[in-house]
Amino acid sequence: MIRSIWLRPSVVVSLLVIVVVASWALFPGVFASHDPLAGSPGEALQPPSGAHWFGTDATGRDLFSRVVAGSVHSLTGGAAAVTIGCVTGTTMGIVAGAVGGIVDDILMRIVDVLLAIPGLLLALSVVILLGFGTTNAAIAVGVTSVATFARLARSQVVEVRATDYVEAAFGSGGSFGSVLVRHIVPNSMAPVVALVALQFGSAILQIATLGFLGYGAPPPTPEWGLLIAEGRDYLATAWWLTTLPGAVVAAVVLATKGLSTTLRKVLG
Amino acid sequence: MAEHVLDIRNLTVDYETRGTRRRAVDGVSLHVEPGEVLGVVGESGSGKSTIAQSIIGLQAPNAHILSGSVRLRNTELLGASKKMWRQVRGTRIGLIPQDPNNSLNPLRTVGASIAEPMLLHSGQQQGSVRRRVLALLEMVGIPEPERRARQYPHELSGGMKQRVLIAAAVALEPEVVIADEPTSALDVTVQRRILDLIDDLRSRMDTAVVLITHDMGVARERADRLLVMHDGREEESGPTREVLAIPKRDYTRTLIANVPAMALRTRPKIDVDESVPPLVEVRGLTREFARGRRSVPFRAVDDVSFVVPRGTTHALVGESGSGKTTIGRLLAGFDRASAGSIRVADHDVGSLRNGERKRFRRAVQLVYQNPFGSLDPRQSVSSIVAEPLRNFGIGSGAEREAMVAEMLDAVALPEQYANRLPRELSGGQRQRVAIARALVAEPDLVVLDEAVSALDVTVQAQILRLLEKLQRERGLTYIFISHDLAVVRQISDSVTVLKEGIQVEAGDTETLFTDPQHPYTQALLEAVPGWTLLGDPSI
Amino acid sequence: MYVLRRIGQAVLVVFIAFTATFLLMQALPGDGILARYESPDLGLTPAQIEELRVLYGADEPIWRQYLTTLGNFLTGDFGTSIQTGADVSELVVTALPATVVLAGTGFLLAVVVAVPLAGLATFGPFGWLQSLMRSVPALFVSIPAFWLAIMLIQIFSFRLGWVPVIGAEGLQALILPALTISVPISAPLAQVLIRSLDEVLDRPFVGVVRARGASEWWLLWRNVAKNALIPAITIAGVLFGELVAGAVITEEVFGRTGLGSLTVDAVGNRDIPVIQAVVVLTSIGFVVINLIIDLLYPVIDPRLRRAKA
Repeated sequence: MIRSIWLRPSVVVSLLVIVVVASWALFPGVFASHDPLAGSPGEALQPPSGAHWFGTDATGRDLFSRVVAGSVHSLTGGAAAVTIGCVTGTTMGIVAGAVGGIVDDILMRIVDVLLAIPGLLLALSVVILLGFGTTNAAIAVGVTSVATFARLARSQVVEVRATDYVEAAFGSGGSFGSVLVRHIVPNSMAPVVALVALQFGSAILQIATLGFLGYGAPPPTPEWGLLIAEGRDYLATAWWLTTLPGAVVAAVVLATKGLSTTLRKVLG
Repeated sequence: MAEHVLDIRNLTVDYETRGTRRRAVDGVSLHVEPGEVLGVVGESGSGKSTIAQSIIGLQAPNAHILSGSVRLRNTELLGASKKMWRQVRGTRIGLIPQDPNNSLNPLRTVGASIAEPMLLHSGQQQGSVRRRVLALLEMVGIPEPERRARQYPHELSGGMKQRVLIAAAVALEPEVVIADEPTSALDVTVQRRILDLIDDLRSRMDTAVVLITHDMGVARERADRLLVMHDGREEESGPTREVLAIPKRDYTRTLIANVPAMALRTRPKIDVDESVPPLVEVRGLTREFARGRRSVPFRAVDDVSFVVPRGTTHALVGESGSGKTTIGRLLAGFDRASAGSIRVADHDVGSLRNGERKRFRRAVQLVYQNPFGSLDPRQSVSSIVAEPLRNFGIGSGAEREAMVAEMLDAVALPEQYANRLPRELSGGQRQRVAIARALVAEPDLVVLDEAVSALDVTVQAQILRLLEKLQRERGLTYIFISHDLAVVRQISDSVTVLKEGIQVEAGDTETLFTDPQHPYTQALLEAVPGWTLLGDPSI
Repeated sequence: MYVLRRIGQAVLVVFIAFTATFLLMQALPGDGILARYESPDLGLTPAQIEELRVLYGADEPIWRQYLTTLGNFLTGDFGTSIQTGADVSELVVTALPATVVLAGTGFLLAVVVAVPLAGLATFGPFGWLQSLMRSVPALFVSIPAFWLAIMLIQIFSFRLGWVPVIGAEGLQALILPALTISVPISAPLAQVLIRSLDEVLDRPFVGVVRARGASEWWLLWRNVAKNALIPAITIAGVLFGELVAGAVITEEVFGRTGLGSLTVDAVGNRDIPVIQAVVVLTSIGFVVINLIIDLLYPVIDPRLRRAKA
């Protein structure tokens, strides 16, 4: 039953995309045919071909190699952002839901404020505070997902807390801490895990957006958003410079969304 | 040969889940005549609801009707087009659903719901539809129809909602009405009035009624003929009286024997040693819930007192809103009384200190109604049962394991279930696990909150026997909370009858059941379906 | 009582948002004045810079600055842009209309896309069509908005030549940006609609309505749609946030002026007063939208109406 859901074509494709991009990030040398940073001016702005799968840019750098090299920025950035959001947010949510009262009120007002500021603006505000760069962009994106994780974790904890089996655990002599650790938290986490996959995709997207706007990694880093921004000047002549990196971003994000849906079904 | 109104021949239905098929209905035939009630009786999973759904063409999307025929007079319904189904539903077949609380569109007025079949089918004018809606409301016994028609479902009680649904079902005077567990979500006194209403409409309109029910008592009282279902097959069928008096099949016999309302068996009287103080002493117990700032608080429990001698069972009986569950939670220390006192053994439950609370928890255990919700879905059976031992620090690791095994054996759960998860168990098995968890730390008092209400009758009978056996062996004291008077009569030594938080009558079980004093107790007893109070169950 | 409490809560959230941005501003190394005027190109002496600091009130104690700024915000004075020296309120008021038109059009487009999509995904005639429609929202949220904008320009301006790259005016200039904005908005809207339609279709009353002989259309319009709308309007606040993000990106890519491009410029120049104004204004927008939704619920759902005496 559980095995069959992992064998559905859409799920297999999603997993495949993620595995491919993860191997790009881990072993860029194996996949990249050229140096992502050094260009050969004689080969500038060549369309995709057997030698240059994604074509070349204005300075003759191989675009595919640059996309491969950029994967590590996107994946680590996404992972860092999700870790920040998940750890902070989930902790806040569990504490708010489990302790209740004034602590709950205070934490949830903070969450309200985080939600009231549109994600991109929040990320931009954090970037201003911390400065531009890959790491700071990841932190900024992480901050925007804190509220989402906190809300979900809290609602889960509140729901699980009200179940008969939690009351029965107290009735069996369990202390608050032991019931929290043994029953409440484990039973609250399934949707949070699904959200991790979902937010991982969103984080990659948002980091690319910050990179595109010029607030992420500085050139000549082959960051995906930055690659697309650089290709903008050649829209009329070199379509591949913007089209192909963007398609890669979309594919990766779509794959993580698919994975999240599957996780939700399996864990649900 | 005269046509039956509804004639089902050899119906076979499969359900398909992820590639595997399961037979839900296997070659069942039935027929109904005008003005007749056919009772389709069975436990959960017997296929009775699938039959109901197939009659009206609303089976689940994963249901496959493999063969058979469903004829309404001379119209074959199996394989009918969508358009034809629409013409039949509401006009020639009406449906009275199971759960009135979720069967009305919450955003439409009651009047709009009743008018729906007329607007769909008869093309009547607004004015005449309106008049008909009011007439129907009047007919199903809803006072002030003008006002009620403008109200929304949440403003009506469960019984009222079922009346509205009945009005909508019979609005176009269908030839067949399917009543799918029409009263299982309602209190007994309401249940009786709704069944009376269905009966009344049947005789007035000469409708054929297919009454789907798990309750042998309801079927016995209301059906002309019975069809007993088990595992998708017909066990037996025939006139109600004959099936009940001389059941041909073993399954039917067990089913009838296990229906508490039809069992003659009552509890032998226990001699209570008056010199020993009772285990439980409840005095003037009151629990108020605040509602809003200014209004008077709501009294869920109002000045209730009773004592329970050690080793006996005391029942708290009442309909929904009687406060019985609140008392159970107060007894188990999950809630605080507004006034009055509870003493269990040497614990004053109202003022437990931290250290004492733990000892109290060990002495008093609660078993919940819903066995699907009271077990942690992520923990194995053995880990669930071992939890109290761990928390109370009883025994070493190996000793605990032995105690868990012994306890599982005591509740008659085979050894191999120890490592299973709750979702791999049936409802009855889960309730055994819950009982094992409650008993493993050897409590004095067990509060059973509707602990057998969610179970099928045969399983219910097994659990009741198990509870009695454990009580005898371990000298347990039970507080048995239930809405089901027949079960209460079987298992309890003394009873408190509750209505809206107030105790209306109390006493030892036999006296109370044979000679009820309070009109409410009498009404409750009369409402138990299929129960002839003092007499012979075969009538 | 309930209304007053909700309004109080809303005001509190805006107040905290304001305080947070203020603290953020203070936490920055140096201040805006230094960032703006320290550049050696300007050739200002430290004394002159100090004068400017006094002029902008940057030398006062923090609590004093805080109260002054708060008072100014309450009277609609958002301070002066460090970059251009212009009045921030004026900058915002000038930029707002273009963004409102863009966001409004984008939102309408998103609704036009999402509603039939959700309808087809739940009531659609074929199984394959339903599952196809169900996969569209996931695709839509996965497309980077900035990339989509570029793709649209590439296809409609460069390949097909339908919309001029430069010098498009009026409606013509609005089409591609609005389309860009609508995609990431329509996806969550369709998702929520599909989910709530599914949830409503699962309720017992739907079966009862079918048993009365209702067609699928009757079921959808008379019984299901309104029930499904209730959870859907809950996400209006989230959509507002998406609209703001969408405006930032599309205005940047299409070179439009508006609140979005104002923000991007401000971030680039660390123009804190502008950022602060935008953040506080959008949080007010979010809070007001959610407040309206809360007050709207009882209109749709009779269960939430106060019982009449």
